[in-house]
Amino acid sequence: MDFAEFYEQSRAGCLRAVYASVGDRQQAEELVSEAFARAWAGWRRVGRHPAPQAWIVRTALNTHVSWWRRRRHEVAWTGQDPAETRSDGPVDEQMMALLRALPDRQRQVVALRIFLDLDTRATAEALGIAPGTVKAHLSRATATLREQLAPLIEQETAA
Amino acid sequence: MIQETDDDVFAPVRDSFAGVDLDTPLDSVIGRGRRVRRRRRTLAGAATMGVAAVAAVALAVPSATAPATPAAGATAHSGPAGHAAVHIQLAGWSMQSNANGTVTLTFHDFTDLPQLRQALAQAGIHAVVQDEFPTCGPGAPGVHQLPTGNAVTVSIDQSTYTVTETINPAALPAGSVLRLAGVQLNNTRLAIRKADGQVEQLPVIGVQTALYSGQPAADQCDQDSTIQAFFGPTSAS
Repeated sequence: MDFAEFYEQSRAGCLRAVYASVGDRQQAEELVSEAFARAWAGWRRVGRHPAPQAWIVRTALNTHVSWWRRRRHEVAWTGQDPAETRSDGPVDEQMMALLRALPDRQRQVVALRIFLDLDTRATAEALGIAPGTVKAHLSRATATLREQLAPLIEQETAA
Repeated sequence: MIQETDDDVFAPVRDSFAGVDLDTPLDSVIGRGRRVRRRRRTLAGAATMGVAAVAAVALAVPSATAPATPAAGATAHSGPAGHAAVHIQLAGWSMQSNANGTVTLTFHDFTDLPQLRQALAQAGIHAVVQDEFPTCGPGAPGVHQLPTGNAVTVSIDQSTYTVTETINPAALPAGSVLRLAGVQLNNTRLAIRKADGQVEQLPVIGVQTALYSGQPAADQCDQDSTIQAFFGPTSAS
């Protein structure tokens, strides 16, 4: 697969996974674009990765740790939180609130499972954690989401 | 694969993100990728300069900063056992040996990397310095990340965009390797208000610090145990 084809096929899924993980659309676009640029620069190697889309998400999330810390500084310095003045996109706010309420790791694990359909091993490799930890996080996240989503689903069904 | 029993939970989440797509044009991504590649080639070229480059650094560092002789105004003392005290002041960073054996490394920018490597070695710190953000590829066999503990502490002065690392060579585990990696987010801009009131958008720059049990692969990483600190944009960017 060449890079252009990979980009076309993977960009939406990677963005959704990172967006769900970091909770901010603009940040997610920035991080994923940067990760794809790095993938292009090293495509001879990244293209042979067993799950290159997982590589993209891992790179984006790894970058996010730094960006998040820097952004806190930026917010304090400018006295303005960009998140307060910007719409995050088309995702339902209630859904985003549910995802944001999950602990970071649970949110990342569930995002990789839902949007990239990664299995336990690939998720573990992408996040640099043990497969058993992935299973535990996924189980807890799924249980929490099921509990929280039930009223929303009932509402929609009733409507 | 997703278990059918969980799809009652996952499907609504997936559906709610159905309208989310990345708008960045392929050409833009490739343009950024070219910049990454150019930087890598520049580094690779610098590495192949080998002995000539090292000799040049060996000349440049003492002449600029007198690492074997304390800088003017500094207290005379020796560095870690078997190593000279280091006192270097460059535009991007400075390094000072302290009387208690620790070394203070202060970053304003991640530049002059050959000199940084030389200075770290001179201070008795086994380190690799790279201008590339580790992208989490396969690690070097048998090499794992270590907690930095008291061996390396990092602080950020948010009023001056300064990152200060205090390294205690004596506390570094035997055989360990400290890695300092530059981070630049080319498309993440920080709004800086200048003295004249104008706002300028500049790329965000920082340094990632990690300790390994041996020589790490360039892409080796573990985001849970890595210190990442940004000193912000530089005027040269």
